[in-house]
Amino acid sequence: MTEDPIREIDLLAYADDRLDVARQAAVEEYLRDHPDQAARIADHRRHVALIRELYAPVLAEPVPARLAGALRPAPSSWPRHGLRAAAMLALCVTTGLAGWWLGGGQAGPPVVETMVRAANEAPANGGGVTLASARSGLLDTLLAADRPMGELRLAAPPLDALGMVLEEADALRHEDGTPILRAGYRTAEGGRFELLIALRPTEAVPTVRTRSVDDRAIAYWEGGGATFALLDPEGVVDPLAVARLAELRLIERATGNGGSTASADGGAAAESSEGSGSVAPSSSPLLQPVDLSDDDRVSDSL
Amino acid sequence: MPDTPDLRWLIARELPSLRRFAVALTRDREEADDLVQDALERGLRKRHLWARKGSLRSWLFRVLYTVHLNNRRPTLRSRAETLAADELPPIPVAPRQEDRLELRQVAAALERLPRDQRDPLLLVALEGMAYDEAASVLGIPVGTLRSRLSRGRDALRDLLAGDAIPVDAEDEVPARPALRRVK
Repeated sequence: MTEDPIREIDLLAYADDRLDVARQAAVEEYLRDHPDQAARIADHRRHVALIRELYAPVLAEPVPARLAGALRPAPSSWPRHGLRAAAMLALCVTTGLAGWWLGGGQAGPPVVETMVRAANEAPANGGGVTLASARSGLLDTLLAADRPMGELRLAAPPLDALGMVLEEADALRHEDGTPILRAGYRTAEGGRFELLIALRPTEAVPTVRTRSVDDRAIAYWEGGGATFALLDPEGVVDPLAVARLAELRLIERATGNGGSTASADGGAAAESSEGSGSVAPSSSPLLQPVDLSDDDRVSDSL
Repeated sequence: MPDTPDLRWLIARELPSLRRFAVALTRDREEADDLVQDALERGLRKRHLWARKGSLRSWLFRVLYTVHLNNRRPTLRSRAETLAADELPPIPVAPRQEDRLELRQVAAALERLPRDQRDPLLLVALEGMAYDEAASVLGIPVGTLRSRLSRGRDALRDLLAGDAIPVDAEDEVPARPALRRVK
């Protein structure tokens, strides 16, 4: 058998300690007969050690807080994606959908916490009823047939106008009975986020706020007779743009303005029956733009 | 890919070596931390591209290196036209190391290496990456990496040989060439 000659690639690998024992012995034998190459490789190995020593202090330093902070879930990136600037565009929604009361009477943030925790406890495509693919068009499921308020329809709002495609929707129910629609969207750039929607009275909280629930950053708002929570750890969307369009689409669906739930725009819907007929959407919703230039109204302290 | 705590934990483990590589690339701690932060944010946004199919470490370094190249691009022309070599930020050397002439010479020699030779050397020698891993980070074939690595090592050896790298005795900062080539 012909012995495999030592080549440059072997010498480099030897300098980097990347040879197996047999090949390493062959290289060492070669180097004994070639002192020039031996000196060269010895220098290479010494330089590696010096380069590592040169930068060793950096490795030993504590990681700056801002880098560790960049790994915390989401909110730090939201302002970069327009939260602060877009606050000027937030909407106030007063609507007759207040009769759609399913939230169990909890005030603002606790409902949001319930929503987020329900979503946390229900893994995607596992904790709820997967309704259908967005591409199949209308998604229907019974959300609250056993609720005293009867049959209701909750649609995952299509956000195509923002270039966001509805990919899936789940109907979740938290242990306290709160029915929640979870809708997953994909942006044109491939980013993903989730929108949670629970029907409850609108009590004039027209501001998009941020909050941390179980170490997850969310943006939340109320409108259209529902509470919305946006889970966007990647910061791929402008929460206020989503808020404005989501509310509008939800109201359109609920009131029959702007198309039915069976529209072909990819909406997802959850539905239950109104047995008594005592609850019905009232007058047409009114959208009122509100100037939210005061940043204090948008908490980005998370 | 869903955002999972274990992913963030895995990334956090790589932060020290990402910082070290960033310092080696930028030769400035503040700029290096900016680079790492940009890379982290980009990596988290694009984490679905990793999809746990390969080494997270390689992927993070690739993201960081891409961000580094992107950051350099807009200023290349102006830097190439106006930047004298003595304006270049020095490789940071801890004060206690300043007595080590050899380390200062290595720092100066690394500064003088062309980027296409220095960056493979940093990944393999400093970060201990395998050749295919380093090639993946740099986006070049592994054969090209070997070739650049070999030339870079020999160039470094030549620079460190004899008095090729004069050191200013007064301020103990490695002297630099009259003009640094910016690619």
